[in-house]
Amino acid sequence: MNLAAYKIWGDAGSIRNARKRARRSGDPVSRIMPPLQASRNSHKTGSRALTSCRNTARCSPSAFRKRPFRSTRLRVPLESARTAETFRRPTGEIQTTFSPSFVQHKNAGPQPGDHNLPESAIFKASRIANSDNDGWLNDHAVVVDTGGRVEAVIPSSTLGDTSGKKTYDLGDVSLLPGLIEAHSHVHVSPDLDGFANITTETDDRMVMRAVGAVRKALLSGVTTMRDIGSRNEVIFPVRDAIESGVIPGPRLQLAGTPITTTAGHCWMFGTEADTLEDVVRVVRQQVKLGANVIKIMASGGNFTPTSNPRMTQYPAETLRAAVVEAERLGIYVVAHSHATDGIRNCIDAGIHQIIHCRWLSSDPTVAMDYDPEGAARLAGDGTWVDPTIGLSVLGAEARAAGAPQRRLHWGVSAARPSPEQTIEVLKDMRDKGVRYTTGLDMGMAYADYDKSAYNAISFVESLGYTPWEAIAASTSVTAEALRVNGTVGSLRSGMIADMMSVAGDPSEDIRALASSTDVVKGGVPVKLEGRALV
Amino acid sequence: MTENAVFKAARVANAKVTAWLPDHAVIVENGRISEVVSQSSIADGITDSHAVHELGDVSLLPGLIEAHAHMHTAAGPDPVYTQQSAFNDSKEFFIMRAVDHIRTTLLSGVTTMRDLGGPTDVVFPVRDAVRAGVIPGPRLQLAGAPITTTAGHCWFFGSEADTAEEVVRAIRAQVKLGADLIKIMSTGGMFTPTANPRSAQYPVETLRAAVVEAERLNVQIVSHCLAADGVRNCVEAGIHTLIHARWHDSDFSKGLAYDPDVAQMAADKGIWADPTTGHIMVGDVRIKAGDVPARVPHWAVSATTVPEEQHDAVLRDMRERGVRFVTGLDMGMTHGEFDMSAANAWSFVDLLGFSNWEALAASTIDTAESLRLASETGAIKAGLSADLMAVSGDPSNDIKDLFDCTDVVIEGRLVKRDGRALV
Ligand SMILES: [Zn+2]
Ligand SMILES: [Zn+2]
Repeated sequence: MNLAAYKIWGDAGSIRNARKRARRSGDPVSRIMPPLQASRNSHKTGSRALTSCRNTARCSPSAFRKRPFRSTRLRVPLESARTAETFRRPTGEIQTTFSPSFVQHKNAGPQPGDHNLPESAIFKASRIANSDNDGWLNDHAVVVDTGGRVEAVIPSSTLGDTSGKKTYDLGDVSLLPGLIEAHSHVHVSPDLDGFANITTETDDRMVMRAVGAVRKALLSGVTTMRDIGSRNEVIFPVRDAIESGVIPGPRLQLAGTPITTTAGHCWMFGTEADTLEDVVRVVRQQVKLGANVIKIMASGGNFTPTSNPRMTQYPAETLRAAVVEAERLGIYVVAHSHATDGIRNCIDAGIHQIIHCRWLSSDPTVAMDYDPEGAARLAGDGTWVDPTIGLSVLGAEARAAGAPQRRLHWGVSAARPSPEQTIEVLKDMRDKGVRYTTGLDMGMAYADYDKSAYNAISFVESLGYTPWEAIAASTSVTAEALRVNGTVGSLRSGMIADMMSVAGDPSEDIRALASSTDVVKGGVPVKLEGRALV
Repeated sequence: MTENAVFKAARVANAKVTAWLPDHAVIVENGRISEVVSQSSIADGITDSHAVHELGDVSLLPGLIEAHAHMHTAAGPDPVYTQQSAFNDSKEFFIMRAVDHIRTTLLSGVTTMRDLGGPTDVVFPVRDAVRAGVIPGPRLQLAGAPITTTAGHCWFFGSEADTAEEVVRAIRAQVKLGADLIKIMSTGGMFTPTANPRSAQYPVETLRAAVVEAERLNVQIVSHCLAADGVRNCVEAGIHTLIHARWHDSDFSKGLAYDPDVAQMAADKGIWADPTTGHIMVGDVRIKAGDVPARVPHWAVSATTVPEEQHDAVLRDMRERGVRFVTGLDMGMTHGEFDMSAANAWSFVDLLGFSNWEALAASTIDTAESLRLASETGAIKAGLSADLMAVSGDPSNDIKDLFDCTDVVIEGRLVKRDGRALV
């Protein structure tokens, strides 16, 4: 039993059991299950059949009504939303406690006596990223203690007596902190039509796919991954299994199901919540089930035909309520928004991070409505942005290789921003001081689970980052955004020994990042010389 | 879709798995073996239509057949962990374990695996996913939930049935859910504290009814038996395969009650045995090396523990009488890790007096025959599915070389090459 994961709640055992019960009982999990799922499973589990009321009908206990929030409309006039009190983030950020999975995978091979805890080990390499991720330490070694943490990073020549420590000489490689992927949807497969996938497959099948997805991500060098939207029934058990050593995978930070409006973006696997009270309750439910982060859909999205990517889904007050509730419970909120109006609502609500951030005009005949003032506010508020630009690079490469152009969503088909426009805006935002996380949108078409390096590649090739800036973005910077920079994201004493190496020199050619040779998680090698050990 | 391919190796097992064909090549078309030829006789133009894989100085064998796995349980050196997880884990954990386990098994060179007992909501969806190409895994033959008495052996993932009528109904239910064969627990077992491995769980009439029903539905029926009374009931009822085939006396103060006449009857009826000696041998090696603590015996056998040598002597006598053995490790149990199928052949050589080639044949063509898959897999010969595995040494010299799997091909598709997983 891994206690660290649930530190903030006290007794981990009882919490986990309570969660298991909650997941099994059909209440409240079933209440927030997508209707397709409920009807498909109803012949198997009787309790689920009775749960046609998912959010709204039962979701108005008087306690919620007494909260000092205004009642909401689906959309509020921009003026009133923008005059809402602007949220100022507290300066001392909370570090998310994330469970170091020191449990070694059970089937590493037929090695009698090979027990769970990592032994102390030394990893030598010709190039090791310094603790700021902005230069190499040549011919150094990472010394890892028995707890799987970095003891020291020192010149190999000063190692002295290494007996009693297992020494791995990785050779002529570039050793980096394990990559941090800020945006995945582990329950879907990039090889399939995502919409068909999500609306027809059983949870069991998704769990089976997820086992392969998290292995692939880990072996590509991703040691920490934030999933911001997968079915609760799939993603929470997957994280439990990784932390228990049942399957190999990166450390996961999870949103569980995203919060959306009825028929809104990703309703097929999201939790539908229309009113402010519903949203607050769902934030609480997600936390109860094990979420470390809340994902809310501030605008419609291209994946969902019944949503409108140019329009907001929630007024600023509702988003603000979600932020207040999440902060009360010790976690943060990321919001999907393609729409300029959605971004403005997020700014007014003090949302911590914006996903996509595409500034689409609410006028279907106008592509973009970029608001440089809004961008300046994002920078000033310290709001992170996940530009998901790696996915665009992958999509362009796939189409160049003959993949068909995909059909555009009706909401954007009349006037679509050109790739150049999008890049120009993202560059301007960065110039204004907005900081970017490395989120690929894994699981969507082309965004396979071993492609996280394309975040850094796109940052260099599209957004004008230097290779070291992109490497830092993929490691220490995104660790900061995920509030885990106290434990992962750089190689210095006291950090968890999560590492990946590549054969070339990514500070010269960022594309070298795409082919990992070695991966170490918590001091335990899971891949050496290109060979998977798990 | 699998491409047409040629696999060249320094040593290729012949069609009967009794000797090497030196410098031969296996030609694969549409996932099946079309020809096995000397490398020198391959037409030059074949590279136009076939992908040619030079496997080099390896021993190419039919993919191994593992006759006894429990894909959902946690194998490993710690019996408490294995048992606690089998009792307590969620369906999702079982599914995730199974997905990981069967991939491991495939990459160790096993291309066909028979699962002899797991929760129906785990093993059937996993098999369906393998068949649909969603996850990698060997060809799976499934028993579904084993049939056992209330509180009987493996009740926590079994289908409890106490009377003959209930057993017949349970067989029908498993077949309906998708079982390829039936597993019934004729005695208690060491894994289950509430069962008694020294005594029979069903009378011979119930087992006979089970055999009649299984045969009516055209599925095999195999039975777990650790007690002489259970073995006798199974042999008299005509059970197709004896799992474990151990002969504990029903008297707690006695050791074995081996009955050579019953063994002879089993041989005469063509009943197979799965001695599961592989995982026991692995455990013994680890215990002797001091890697793990000694076993804690089940309460029913703790008063009179039988040394392994006695079991092995009985198994050798059964074999001399003509009982044929399948290679079932009991994967998923303690010391039955999912990449350890080669321990079957190793134990057959070291403990049961098989020659290396006899053990290799047991792991492939013989077990394919027992699983009624001989027309599909188990040998490298024209017409069969292209299920192949290569090891770097020569297991006809040292049987332990069977652990060093370098390449795996299933239904013509390369899933491991030169030690690297491709799936
Ligand atoms: Zn996404
Ligand atoms: Zn078994």
